[in-house]
This record gives sequence, C-alpha cells and structure tokens, in this order.
Amino acid sequence: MAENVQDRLPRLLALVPWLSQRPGITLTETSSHFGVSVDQLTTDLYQLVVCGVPGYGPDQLVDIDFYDGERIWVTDPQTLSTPMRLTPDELAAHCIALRFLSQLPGISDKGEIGELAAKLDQAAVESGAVSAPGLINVETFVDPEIQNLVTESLVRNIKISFEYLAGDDSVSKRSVSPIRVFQVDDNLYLEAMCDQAEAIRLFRLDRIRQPQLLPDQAADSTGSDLGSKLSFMGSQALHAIHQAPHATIRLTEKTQWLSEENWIVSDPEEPMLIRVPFLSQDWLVGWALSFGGDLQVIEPPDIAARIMDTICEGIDRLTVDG
Amino acid sequence: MNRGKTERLLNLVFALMATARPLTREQIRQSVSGYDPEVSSESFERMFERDKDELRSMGIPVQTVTNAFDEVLGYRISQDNYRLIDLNLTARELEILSVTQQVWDQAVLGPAARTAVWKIEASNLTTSATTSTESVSESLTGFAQVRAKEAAILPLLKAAREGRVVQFLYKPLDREAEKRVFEPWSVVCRGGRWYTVGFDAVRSERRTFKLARIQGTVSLTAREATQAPQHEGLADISFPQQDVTIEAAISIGKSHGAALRKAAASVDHHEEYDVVHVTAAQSDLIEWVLTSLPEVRSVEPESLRHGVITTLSNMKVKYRG
Repeated sequence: MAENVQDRLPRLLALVPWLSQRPGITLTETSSHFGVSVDQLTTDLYQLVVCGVPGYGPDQLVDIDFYDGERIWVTDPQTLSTPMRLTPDELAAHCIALRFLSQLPGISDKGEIGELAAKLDQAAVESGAVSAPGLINVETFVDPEIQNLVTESLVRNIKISFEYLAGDDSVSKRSVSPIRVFQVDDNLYLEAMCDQAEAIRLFRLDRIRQPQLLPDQAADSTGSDLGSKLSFMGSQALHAIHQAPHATIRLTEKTQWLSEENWIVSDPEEPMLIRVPFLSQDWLVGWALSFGGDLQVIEPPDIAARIMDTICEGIDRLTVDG
Repeated sequence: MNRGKTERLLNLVFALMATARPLTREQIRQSVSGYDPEVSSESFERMFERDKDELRSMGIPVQTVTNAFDEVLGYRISQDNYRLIDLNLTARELEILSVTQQVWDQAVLGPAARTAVWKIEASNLTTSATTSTESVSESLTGFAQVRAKEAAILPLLKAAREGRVVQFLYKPLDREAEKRVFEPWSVVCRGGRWYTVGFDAVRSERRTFKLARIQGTVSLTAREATQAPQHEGLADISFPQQDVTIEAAISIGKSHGAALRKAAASVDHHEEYDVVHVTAAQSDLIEWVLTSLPEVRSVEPESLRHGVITTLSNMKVKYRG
C-alpha cells in the first residue's frame, strides 16, 4: 500500500462531491467505481470525517454517515460541495484519447466524439491550459486504402480477405469476419474471426496486403468469449505471450539498443545479455539471423544449433546458385 | 502513505477555501490542524512551502494575496477558481468519457483521466437515462490504447504546455550519462518507442531524445523557454540517413518472406516460388534476406548476393565460437 499523497488527495477531494450527488449509494458500488477496495474506501471516509475547517467542532467537520457498513450519506461536505476544476493533465488525457478514438478506422459515434472534444478544448482554453493537439503525437503508418477497406468491412459487417505478412515471416491468405480495430501505441490491429484458423486472431494493419471485400456477411462472433471489449490485454489473441518461453541472447555494441526495448527482459548488471520471449521457433531463428553477426543466441541450445545449420545451408545454396 | 500529511493537506484546503480574507502564515500555523504551533518557525516555513507547492502541483488554485507593495498578505483558495464549471455534457458524452479514460488505463495519464471522470460525474446533473439502447462500448468498432509508462512524459508535457526549461541526465548508448538542458515541444511515439522533440538550450539546436535513455527524473526549472515551439513537422524525428538504395530481385518460397514482401514494389508469381522486387538500402536488404534465409532461392544483383554470403560467413565463425 504505497499510495502517495499525489494519488490519494485528488481522490479524497473528488469523493465528497461525488457522494453528495448520490445519497445512499453503497460502499461496494463506490469502491469499485473508484477502483479501490472497500477497506481502502472505508479508510478514506474515516480520514475525511476527522477533517474540516479550523475550530474543528462538530459543525466544522466533514460529516459522512457510513457506519452501518452498507450505505453512504454525506450530511455535511463543508467546502467540498462541488468538484475541483479539471487540471491541465486531466484535460490533456481526455483530449488526446478522444483524438485517438476519432482517428480510428471504422469508429462510430464520430459526431459525438467531435462535440465532446470541442467542449473539453473550450474548457482547456478557459482554464489557461494550452490545448492538447501537438503535444503528444502517435504516428501510425498504414496505407489509407487498407484502412478504408477494413473500415468498410466493419461498417457493412461483411467479410474481407487479404494476404497476411506475419511477424514470423510466413505469408498466408486469410478471409476474416472483422470485430473491431485496436490501436495500441502506434500499431493498428484488426481483431477478427479468421476462417482459416477458425478462431479469433489479431492482424496488424501494416502487414495486410491486397485486401478485398467479400460478398459474404460477416460471421456472428457475439457468442465467442471476447474478453473486455475495451482492453487490448483482455483480447484472446494476446494471452499466449504471457506464457511464452524466453531465449538468452548475447548482444554486441551495435545491438545494445535492444536492451532498451520494453518487450525484452534486460538486467542492468549484465547489459549485454537479454532475454527475449518467443512464441514460435521460426520467428526467433529469422529474427536472430536478421541482425547478422551482431547478436548471438546462447539458449535454448537447440535453437542456436538450428541457426548454425541455417547459416551453413544458406551459404551453400546461394553459392551454388550463383 | 503518509496519513498525517494527507490530513494536514486536506485541512489546509478546507481552511483556505472557507476563508473570505486571506489567511496569514501565522494564522495557518496556529489554527490549521496538522501544523504544530510549538515547532520552530523555520520548520513550519519549510513544511508550509512544501505543502503549498504540492497542492499547486495537483492543480489546486492556492492564491498568494499581495498588497500594492508586493508584500504577501496571506493565502486563500477562491471557491470560484476552485469550482469545476459545468461542461453541460450529455449522458452519451459522459459515457464516452468513461471509454476515453480506458485509453490510458495503466499508462502515465491514467490517474489524471480517472479523476477527471469522477469530477465531471460529480458536477453533471444531466445524468438522465441514456437515450440510446446500445451502450457506447458496445457500439464501438474500434478502440485505442496508449501504454506509455515512461514517467518522463508527465514533466515533459507540463514543461511543453507552460513553455519551460527542463533538466535531465541522458545516457547515449556509446557514452557516459550527461546532463541536458532542454526545451521540450512535444512527446512522440514512433515504432513503439517514445521520444521528446524540442530545443537543446546548450547546443542551441533542435534535438530528439529517446525517453528510454533518460536516467532518473526530469526536473522543471524556473526558466522560461527561449524558443517558440515549432508545431510544423514536430513529428519529424531525424534518424541517420539511409545508404544508397539498390534494386533487388529475390526468389523465395510461396508462403514465406513476409519481411521482404512488406517492402516490395512488385511480386512475380511462378509455379513454385515468387520473385520479389524491392528497392532498398543494401543493409536492409541483407537483413530481410537473412530473416527468410531458409526459403531464399536466389539473390540478385551480384553485389547483394556477395554481401549476404560475406555476412553469413562471418556469422558462421561467430557461432562456431
């Protein structure tokens, strides 16, 4: 419980007016809304009721009734009957998020998102904060034609086919029923029910080639367990990465930058050794080879041996062909 | 967590909001619960300065009231300044806000996004039933998530917003860490990595720094930025220039070579293999050929083939140890 004052005070200040608007709300409902345990919420409330204006007599303290352990009534909020104005960070967080959402291919509610963004921008200007656009840029590199076709398949709820250039270097023809588009940092993904895999898969939009709309109605995916609709990590297709095995790899000066990547495990004590999660051996072999001699797989030993074999075969094949 | 400190700060907020006349330091020391009237005035001063700065850093408008001679009369929080002005949001818009909050989720602006929603929910009285039967999250056909966890982002954004100079320790890969004095303009995500673009005040030129290489904290100085942010081409991060490009033709197995095909200008399809035509720097071409090595049948032109074989021969020596 290492919560600092910077996290805690804004919550306490927001709690009082929020509860005032909702007389008789339960402890359980409130704690889940604020993302804390019931115990933490109770601690928060006990702390609030000993605070107030100087004098600190019965009429000068915050008064909240929550002692039957079920429902909460604010009987005297003292000076906290209204919430505090939004801070520049709070405004920026939502302005930036709205911009991301409105730029997604196939997003519905575009009109409402635009109006909301305008209201928040106005509030930002009034509070003297510079409006957010430009302060944070997340660049996506996806061919607009691919974006448009994916959007159309989502909007019309029809299947789309494409050639998929996967991260493990395989190339395959797919026909899929689109479910939604994810943007995670600067990557766009299509989550879709894949006819070939007969399961939900994620496809990175920049790896899609030759997309074509199909005349078929998209398959209904409402029955499948999608996990949380708003969480990328809740997405089925990503679960496997958590159980992935790791390879131990030795870096050279040219590849030392890899230790800064957040998907790679590195130890500051041994900056030249990294641990790389891998879902497929083919991917790991190709990925390791792509760095030329600037890194070396040490473990697992069978992969190191496979890389050596691939190198020798490659030399033979390309030398003979020439 | 410091329970006493939280309570002291809360009491300070209540006291400063409840007063019409500014409270002097002495009044605060004597009357606000949490300050000990018995401690030395130096330690009270230190504590009060820190508390006041901390409240302000959380966005609480603590006013320093001065007279015509610029002497400090005292402190207060004006209710009008404090209060959130009703944004007149519709129920649907409120719902969208709970979705945008999740864009940040566990990332740096997550806590700010959450408190904003609590505040708006506490002020908005138009929380009538949703007009649409379908919830916003159900109707969304897309979702965005920003995973940025780099703590440096918050102070950099603040400095960019306020036009201030920051300092930090920067560790280039090939050198020792060095101190940088920098006027940030923006924070940029490219290729999954975060950078800050701005003006290096010491070197007097536009610079891009990788956030993963910033050591320790980014601290805001009192100094104001000397250069106006360049909003045009902010995202234009300078990377080392590529080598001369060459036109290559690589024969490769049918369902392989994704990396090469991603950059391909065209693909000739044959019965058993494809010929991928790519124009790129030799170093990139070698990288892609190596990625797909088991499936590569031939490489043209001769200079590229030679380059691949040389690289492979060096690797063979290394792997043999």
